[in-house]
Amino acid sequence: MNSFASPQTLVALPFPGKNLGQPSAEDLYSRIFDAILEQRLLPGSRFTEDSLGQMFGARRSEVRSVLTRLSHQQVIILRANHRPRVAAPDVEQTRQTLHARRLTELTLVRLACQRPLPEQLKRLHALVDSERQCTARGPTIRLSGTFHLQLAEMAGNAPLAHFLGSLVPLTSLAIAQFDAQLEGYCGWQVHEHILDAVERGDSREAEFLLSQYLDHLEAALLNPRPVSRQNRVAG
Amino acid sequence: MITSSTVVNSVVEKLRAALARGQWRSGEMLPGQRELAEQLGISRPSLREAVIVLETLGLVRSMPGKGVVVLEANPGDSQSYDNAVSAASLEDVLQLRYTLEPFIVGLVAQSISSKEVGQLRLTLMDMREALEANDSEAGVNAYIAFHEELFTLTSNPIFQSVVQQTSNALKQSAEVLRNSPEHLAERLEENEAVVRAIRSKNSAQASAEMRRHILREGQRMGIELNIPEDNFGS
Repeated sequence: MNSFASPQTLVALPFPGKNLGQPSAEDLYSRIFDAILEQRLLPGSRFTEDSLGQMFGARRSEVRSVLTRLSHQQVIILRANHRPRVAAPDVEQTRQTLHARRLTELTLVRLACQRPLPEQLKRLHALVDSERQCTARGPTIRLSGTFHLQLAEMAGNAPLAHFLGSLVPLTSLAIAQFDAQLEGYCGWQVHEHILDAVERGDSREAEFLLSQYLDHLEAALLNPRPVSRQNRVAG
Repeated sequence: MITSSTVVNSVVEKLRAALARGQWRSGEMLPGQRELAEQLGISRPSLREAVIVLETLGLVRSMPGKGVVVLEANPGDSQSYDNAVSAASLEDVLQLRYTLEPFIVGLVAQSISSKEVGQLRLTLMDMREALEANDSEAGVNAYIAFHEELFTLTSNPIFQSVVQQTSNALKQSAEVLRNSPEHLAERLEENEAVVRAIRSKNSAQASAEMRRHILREGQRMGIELNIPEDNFGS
C-alpha cells in the first residue's frame, strides 16, 4: 500500500484496487502520461511502441497496455495502419468535455458528501498534501486530475466515476496543450476546501466550490492562446 | 479525434460481444476475412480496421499469412467498464442515465438531420408495434434500440464511451424492463415526447423530456433518484 503515497504511482483511474499487484504498470502509465502533459511527446510527434519502450525502459507489451488505456481516455489515438499519436482536442471538444464533466462531477461530489468515508478522506488529504509539495516544484496537472478521480470514487457510483475517468485525462491534456494560464490559481487549496466541505457533508458548499473550479478551467481553456505561437522546446 | 468510423465501432462491439460470449475461444482462429466480412455485412477494409482495434485491446493477434488468433481474455483495461457496470446497482445506472442522457439528447437536438429523425421514429414504431402485439420482449428490444440509435447520433467521440456505457446499462436493466410490460405504453409516450422535441430542434425541451422520462422510469422501478434541489449549469 505504500506505493500509493508517492505521487509517481497514484492511480489515475478510479479503480486503484484492481492494480495493486502491478505498481510498475501504474508507474509506466504515470511516466508516459507525464511525458505527454509536459509535452515531451507532442501531438504529431512520431513514436512507436518500440521507441517508447526504449525511452522508458519497458517491454513492448507494457507500453501497449498503457497506450490502450490512454486511448480509452482519448489521450492517445490509435488508428489502423497508423502510428499511435497524441490527441489534440480542439476548443469545441474541450467545451463539450468540460460540460459533460460538470454534469458528471457535480453529481459525484454530491453523492460523495452523503458518504464521506474516513479511509478515503485520509487518502485524499495525503494527495492534496503531495499536490501542495509538488506545486512548489512545477506544474501538477496529472496529480490534480487524480484528486478529482479519487473524489469520484468516494461517490460509490462506479459507472459514473468510470465516465469521469475518461473526461479528466482529456481535460489535463487540454490544459497542457492550450498552455492554460493556471499558475496564479492554486489548485491544491481549492481541492482542500472541497475536501473539507465533503468531510462536513456540506454538499451545497462542495458543489459550489467545484462549480467555481470548473468555471475557472472553462475560462482558461476556452479562450486559449494558440499553442503554435509558443516557442516550445521538445525533449 | 474520431479514431474509426461508426461502422468500425459497431463491428468492434459485435466482435467483442461474440468473444465475450465465447463464440471463439482463446487459441482459435477467427473465420477468414472474406467470410467474416460477409457474415457481418461489411467491407474487408472495415473488418481489417476492426481487427486492428481488437488487437490493440489485446483480444486477438494477427498472424501474417495465417489469420487472426483469439487471445486469452484478460480482465484488465478493456473490460474494466464491464466490471464497473456489473457491480453497479440499478440505482447507480439510473443515476448515470439521469446525469448524462438529458445532456446527450440536448446535443443531438442541435445537430440532427431529418433523415436521422426518421431513423429514430422507426424505432418508436417498433415499440408501438410491440405494444399492440403485447410482445414485451420485442418492446424491450425496441426501447434499447431507440436509445442506441439516439446515442449513436452524438458526433463527439468523447460520448461514444457514454453511448456504449448507457446501452450496456440499459441491457443490464433489460430484465427489469421486461418484467414490467404494463409500463411500455408510458415509456413509448415519454420517448415520443423526447423525439418531438428533438425534431423541432428544441434542445432544452429534449433534455427536459429525457429527464422526466428517467425520473418516471425510477418511479416505476421504485427507485428514488438522488437529484439536486437546484440544477447547476444545465
